[in-house]
Amino acid sequence: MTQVIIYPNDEGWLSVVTPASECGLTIDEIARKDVPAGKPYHIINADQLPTDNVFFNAWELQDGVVAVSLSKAKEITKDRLRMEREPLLAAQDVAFQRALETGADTTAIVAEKQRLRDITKLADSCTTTDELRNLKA
Amino acid sequence: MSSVVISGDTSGAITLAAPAVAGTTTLTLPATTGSVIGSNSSGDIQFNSGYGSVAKAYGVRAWVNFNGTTSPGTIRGSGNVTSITKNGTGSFTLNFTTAMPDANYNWNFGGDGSGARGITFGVAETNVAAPTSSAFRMKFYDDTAAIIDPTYACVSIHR
Repeated sequence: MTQVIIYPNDEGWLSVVTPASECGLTIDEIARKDVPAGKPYHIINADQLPTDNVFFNAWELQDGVVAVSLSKAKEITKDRLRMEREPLLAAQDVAFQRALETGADTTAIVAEKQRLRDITKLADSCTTTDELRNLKA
Repeated sequence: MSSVVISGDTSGAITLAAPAVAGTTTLTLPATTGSVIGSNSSGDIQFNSGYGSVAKAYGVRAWVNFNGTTSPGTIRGSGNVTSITKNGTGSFTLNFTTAMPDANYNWNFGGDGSGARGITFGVAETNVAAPTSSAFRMKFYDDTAAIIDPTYACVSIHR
């Protein structure tokens, strides 16, 4: 079983060290060499890590287990939604200007812009990472 | 057969040492005249490998090809690398087995097509950690400036 080294980093989540098999050092030697001085580290089996990296910046060590912090995962999701909605809002701005120029109804455009502005609030009501993962702008 | 000449013009000795293994080792010289390989007083290896003259060779001191999308990251191949540290999404540190003589080395990235529009590229994450003789921190983006985990991250270090 592949083993990795984990340690809490200065950013507030976990760093994961993957050994290079060609280096010839043991994982203990790699840990002593590559983990920053003073950081407590753990050597675990790779299958003890979450299976995807979507919420990597929300990984925490909770009771000896690597788990995803839901509150941090919500913030990551909000950041993603903000990036996703940026071009959509720009497109609605263009549509709004055109509607004004032609005197067309802007009701739907205004509603869509409001939906995009409020999209990040949906993350707050999610209770699982799957729900967060499925949110799209 | 032509002659084989081993000569020295100062004191000291020239030693050709056989490897400590059984079998035959053959060193074949090219069918050209003139100097093809040498070294200078600093011990630098010099060669003419199409350069046009015998000149100092600058080697790759470390390299890695890894997949940053898997959990954990997967190192496909490497040289002079003990490990890759994933610091965060898109952020990795290359840890050298044998340290560089200093931090003034050259780095090169090979991108791949895993970005949103088919482009991924790497940069040195010097705003977080300057390169050191023992490690090199890097970050990957796609062509929408989104931070991403690269499918193929290829990095080489020259010194």
